[in-house]
Amino acid sequence: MRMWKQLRRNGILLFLLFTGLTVFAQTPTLNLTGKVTDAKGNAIPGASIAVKNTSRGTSTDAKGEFTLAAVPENATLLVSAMGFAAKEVKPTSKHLAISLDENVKGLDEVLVIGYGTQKKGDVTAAIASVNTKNLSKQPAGNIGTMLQGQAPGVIVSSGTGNPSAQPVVLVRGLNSINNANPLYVVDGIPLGYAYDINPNDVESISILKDASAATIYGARAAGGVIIITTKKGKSGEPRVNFNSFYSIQRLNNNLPLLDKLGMNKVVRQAYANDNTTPPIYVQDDSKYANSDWVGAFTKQGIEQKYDLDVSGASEKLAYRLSYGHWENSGTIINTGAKRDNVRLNSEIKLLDSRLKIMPIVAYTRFNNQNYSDVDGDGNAGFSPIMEVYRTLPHKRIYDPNSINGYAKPETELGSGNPVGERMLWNGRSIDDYLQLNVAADLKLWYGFSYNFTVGKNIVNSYTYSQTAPYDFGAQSFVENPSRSESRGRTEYTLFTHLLNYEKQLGKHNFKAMYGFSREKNISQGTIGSGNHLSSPLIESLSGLIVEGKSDYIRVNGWNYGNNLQSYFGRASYNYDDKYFVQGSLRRDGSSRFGPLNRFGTFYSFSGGWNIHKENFFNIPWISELKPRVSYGTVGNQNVSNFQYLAKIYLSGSDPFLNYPFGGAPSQPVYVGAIAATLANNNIKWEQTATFNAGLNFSLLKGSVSGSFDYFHSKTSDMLAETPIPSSSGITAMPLTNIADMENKGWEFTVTYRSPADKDFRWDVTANLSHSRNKIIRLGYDEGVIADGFVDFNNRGTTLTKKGQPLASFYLYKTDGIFQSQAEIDAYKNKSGELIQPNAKPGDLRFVDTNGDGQLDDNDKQLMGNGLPNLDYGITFNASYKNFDLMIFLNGKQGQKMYNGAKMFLYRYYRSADLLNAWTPTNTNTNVYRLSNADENENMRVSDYFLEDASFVRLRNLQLGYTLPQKLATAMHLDRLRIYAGAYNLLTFTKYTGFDPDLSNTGIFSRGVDRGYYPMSRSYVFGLNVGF
Amino acid sequence: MKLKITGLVFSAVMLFSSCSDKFLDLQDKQNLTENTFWTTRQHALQGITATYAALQGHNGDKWTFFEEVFVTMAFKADDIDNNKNEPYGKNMAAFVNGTDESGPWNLWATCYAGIGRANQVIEKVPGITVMTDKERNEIIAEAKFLRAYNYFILVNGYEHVPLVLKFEKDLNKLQVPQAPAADVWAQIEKDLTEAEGVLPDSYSSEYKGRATKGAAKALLAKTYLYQEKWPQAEAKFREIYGKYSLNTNYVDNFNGTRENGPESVFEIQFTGDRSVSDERHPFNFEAAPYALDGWEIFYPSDWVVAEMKKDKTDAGGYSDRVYGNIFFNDPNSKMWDLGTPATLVPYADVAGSLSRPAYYNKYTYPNDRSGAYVGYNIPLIRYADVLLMLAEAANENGKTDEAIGFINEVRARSHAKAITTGSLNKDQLREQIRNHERPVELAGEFGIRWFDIVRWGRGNTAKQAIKTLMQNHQKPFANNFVEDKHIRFPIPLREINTNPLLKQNNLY
Repeated sequence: MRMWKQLRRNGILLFLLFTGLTVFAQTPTLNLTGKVTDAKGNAIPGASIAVKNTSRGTSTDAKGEFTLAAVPENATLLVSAMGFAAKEVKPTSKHLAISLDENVKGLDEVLVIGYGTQKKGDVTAAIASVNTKNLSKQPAGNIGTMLQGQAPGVIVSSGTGNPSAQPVVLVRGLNSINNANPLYVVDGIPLGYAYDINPNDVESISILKDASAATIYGARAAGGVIIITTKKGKSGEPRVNFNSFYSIQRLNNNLPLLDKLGMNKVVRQAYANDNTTPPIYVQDDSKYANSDWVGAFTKQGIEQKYDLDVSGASEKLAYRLSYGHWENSGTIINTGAKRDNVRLNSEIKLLDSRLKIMPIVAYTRFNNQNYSDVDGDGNAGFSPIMEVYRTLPHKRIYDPNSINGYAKPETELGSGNPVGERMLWNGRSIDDYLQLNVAADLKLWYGFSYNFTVGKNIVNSYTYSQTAPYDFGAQSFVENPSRSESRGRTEYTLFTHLLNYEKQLGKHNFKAMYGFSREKNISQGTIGSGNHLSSPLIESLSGLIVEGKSDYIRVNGWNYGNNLQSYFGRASYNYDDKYFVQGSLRRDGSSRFGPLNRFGTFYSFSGGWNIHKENFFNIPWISELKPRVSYGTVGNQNVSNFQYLAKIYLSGSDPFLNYPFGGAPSQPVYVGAIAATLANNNIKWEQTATFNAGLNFSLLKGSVSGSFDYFHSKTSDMLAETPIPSSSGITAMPLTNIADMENKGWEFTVTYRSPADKDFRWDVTANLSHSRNKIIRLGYDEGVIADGFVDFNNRGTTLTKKGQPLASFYLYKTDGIFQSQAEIDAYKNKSGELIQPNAKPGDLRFVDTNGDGQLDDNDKQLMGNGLPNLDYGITFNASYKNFDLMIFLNGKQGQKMYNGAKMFLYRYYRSADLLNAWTPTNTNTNVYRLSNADENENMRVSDYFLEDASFVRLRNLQLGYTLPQKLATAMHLDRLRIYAGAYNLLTFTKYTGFDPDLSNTGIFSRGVDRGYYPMSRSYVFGLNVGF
Repeated sequence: MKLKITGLVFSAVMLFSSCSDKFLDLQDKQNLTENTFWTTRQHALQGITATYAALQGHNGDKWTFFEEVFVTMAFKADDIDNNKNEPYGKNMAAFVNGTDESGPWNLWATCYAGIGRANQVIEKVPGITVMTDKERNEIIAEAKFLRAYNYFILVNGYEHVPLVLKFEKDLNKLQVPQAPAADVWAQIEKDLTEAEGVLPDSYSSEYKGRATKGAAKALLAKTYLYQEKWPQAEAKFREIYGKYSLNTNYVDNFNGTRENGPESVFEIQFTGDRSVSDERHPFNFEAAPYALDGWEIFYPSDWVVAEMKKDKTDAGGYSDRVYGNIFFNDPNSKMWDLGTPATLVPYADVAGSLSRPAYYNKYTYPNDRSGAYVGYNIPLIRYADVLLMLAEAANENGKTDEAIGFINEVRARSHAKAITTGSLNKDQLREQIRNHERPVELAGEFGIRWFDIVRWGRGNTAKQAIKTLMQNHQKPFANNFVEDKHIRFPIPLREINTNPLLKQNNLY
């Protein structure tokens, strides 16, 4: 009974029923063989031969040959291959010679869209397909990094230079203050991430940008959808490919620091200017070490990747088995990441090819040596690397006489040895990702077909950290070896049913799809830790002991889940391939919302017109001209669970609500519980409505092609943690539908391809995009959100308010340096009071922008934001005989960054700029005078630290050589290509921080540079071999 | 044919028939909700525990407690000189801070976190039927005491603050305008009057540290004192006079040996027991010199050191409280080295490697076991303070000689020479209390000196201009002090951003 329920609930029964039904269908047949060639007679391997209106077909082998058994007598074959125009062939004999013309238009190319595919020429939505040929030349370990600059409207920033960090991918800029990350759909499975996928397994990437395309993913599509399809077996004979690259990475360190003598000089000056006594350690230049902490903390990194795959296909079975290994040893000591991928994709054809079953098994293992960066909104932590940059050069790094080899600093230098602390701490994570996915496609009758997908994604994560005892001073003291371990398990299950319908009636073409899906997410975990292992040789929690009041063993854990249930459909119609309309609808129900607002409905319409197919259209140099327009809505459910409940916070091992009582010292701790946030019963879906107008064009017989899109979206009821007055007593900000925002922009992409029949061939693709957002409603009562803090939880640098772009910098305006007391005295208000009474010559002049004669918060001004005006990528490919060259430039124009790292290095007297500080004799400088007391508050948040972070970067330069075919054959190879290149070779920018492309991922803190793990420049050598 | 159509129809029915929405009804397995909480005695205790926990900072973090809350309360005063090489409270101590200074926001959030939790206890505990009336009322009285304590800090620190007495759950009603200071004072008196009637005289040993009747009376008397209601203050202090006693050793107030002991009226509880969570504070090494493995974030000011050195015994030596407060150039002055194992170090041993002539050794004790941080309680009101406040009130009420007697009780404990009755007139005794007895006895203690300076600076009885006082006491950057500005903390910019009804304090 229970099993029956299970079967019925998830629709497996339906699938079994269909399978049984189709066995009854049979027709008379023919056995075919054939060869597919190009116009010159060269064989085309991997061409697909499909029997039209059936799901049957095969593909050609390495010699371009195929066999196809039991083809219905009156069938039509559809022959297609990448780069060639598809052709319909009636089998006139049992052996067919089929010649294909090179495809110049690309309009018949098939695009993967949500829950289906569509011919590129039929698309009416804003969908970008990424040229995977260019992608395969990017020496990158993950998909996000590879997408950089490859598609218009897709902005990728390197999160940090940390090898295990995830890049930040934004589709069409920031369109929500909530999580604006795109949804990834990998082989039909919607996921929040795709960093576990091996780029070498990727067949195609489509990016759904407008609502018309993305509505079909309804509730999660507000940040755009990135659809990834993995490679399947193609040709007949098994083929083996081996790809590898090896790269040497060096840190791009461009922040010059003071050495000991320089620092002593600067600090002495700063205290002398205040008439105060400087710290003891700067007083005698002959004392102390002069260490290079940054040098000791960093190293040369090696990144390497090896991919091996074997693939093939017969009439009934296609398969591809791949293995990939990637590792990056990191550029900081004791960091690094490794990934291993195994994937088996197969396709089984049954019932005369009416039934296709596509099982996928993929396994990924991630090994990280952890390095945590300080990212996101809220409190201003600075990253561990900034702690290294600020460490006094006076401290010694190593001490051969200490037990662990690292030096304890002299007490007056303060605690800490960042190199020792890093090396004596061992933190790792080992994560296993398992993807099991079975899709079945069953051809029914009268144009109907049915598709069923069951998918499971299981992530098992394990992290541990163990610290060896050390004593680097009172604040950097670990008395006993300590250890913590955490094990987590996330299981995601998906069932999808699709019913498809396709019909052609004369010039009327109909296509429709209806679907139902259920998704279930469960996450559970356990954490254990203790601060006293009985011996440093034990690496297990079993070695923890409690010997006294200071020792502890603690456990913790988590257990939560969420479900999503959805109904969706799409219908499209075109007349004579000239006029296209399409409509989609999706209704999502999410357990994350309360019963009142659980369901959300999303819809879209779009239309297109192939002008070039009209009889009246007669411009020979335009081969495609297709305007299109769409309007629709998508949603965002990216909120944590049970926000609609009035939760009571029970803090467990968090000191937050706990408190000791008792008579004697070392009192026992009592656990407290109370409401720490507010429930929001009315919490509802965030919704984005987008209007999109675009134009596809193709000129000069397809040698120039491209598209232009304009979009205008409005996001309503954005969900975000809402800053509320702390006078409410609430310490955790509640989630509300706080704001509405609009986002406008355009995207342009154009490609030129030189004629294909020359020895020298080249193509160039340029992508440009622009977007601008604006808040049109914020919170209750016209509130503002200040964030981008650069001093613990204060000194906000950004402000989000109505009528302004998200997270605009909000700062004091400076106007140079006071050169004399006379200038300070002259800077006064109407009543004769000095506006900056605490200033001295050499201090910054702050502008009383509102002219009220006082310098206060009202004088801060909005000064741009951290999003670029223009994001662009230019990819140039050329080949001459056996040589090929790729140049990829990527840039951002008009983004600003608050150089918090510089502020930090000024505050701690570590920046080499300070040698050029203002003095009465060094007045021609823009570095304000040194003063430790900083009575003028030169370090207040001002445009002094705000910089233009526009840049152009030569991201990839690669030169390859392919062995001539004869030579390769002699070596028993299909193909051999070797290449060498450089990644991140050159950057042109005015930005003086680490890197203008390292972005804070916090939505309200975007562009606030707190000093992240810097990027590396790498030199790459690689190899592609086919057997 | 029939079969095919039946198949299609069947499949359509299966797909379109709405599956049950029960799939979307999930239970929160990690949290109780307001509907399931506040039903047992345990819940009431957990609620009041959380209310006490706010005394340690709004997020329970030891750094918030020291670097934000303590620094904000202490660094403006003339008994502390901050280490100019460290960023903590630097701008505030130099009277150049803006409205986005982090300390005042964290102090504000800490007080209101306590108030919000107290409001929840006051509203919800009456509904818990499984407790006795006495148990219920006592817990509610504790919450009122804590609410009053937090408003006391707010009204003295910021003066113009919203008066929130209800835990508001409607997101649209969270913005509350500032109340007149008089209303806040009145509410503090009301809460404490109600609490003192209900709170028990003491707790069993497992619950020591919770608010007692005596604590409520002391805070109520202090509230009268701060409003210069001298007769009421004196009367209320007299209600607890003799109910407490001074520890024999001055230092036992700070070294953990007499936690919640005879001199303790109310303390913020900390502990070295980490088996549940980390409830320690870092005062010990924040104050200790580099040479003793400390971080030396702040020092006793030169003025307070000079004032200490006037505190002599009959024999002409320094009183116990001088040695208990500061580490200075004296053969008997000692301080704990915080290294492992901790040792008591004479001044002469480290004199050469100190960057300042004197340090506070008041809170600088090694932890009850080891490690950098410490679990000893921080006194908020101790009996010595009560006696000095009683003396102040009595003096203002014209009982100068009796007041000298109260002061001498405190002096005697530290073996400081008694003040001869009749040797000081009312004005002289007032000066003695303000600028010797209180700063010497209570130097660097939580919430004492800056608020004393504030009340004497704004009051009507012998008003004492703060800037002049600061200049006389050589407070660094005293020249930056603007009288009607720096007497208050700024209303935190972060708070104004979320509550536009708030008006910024004068001149910020």
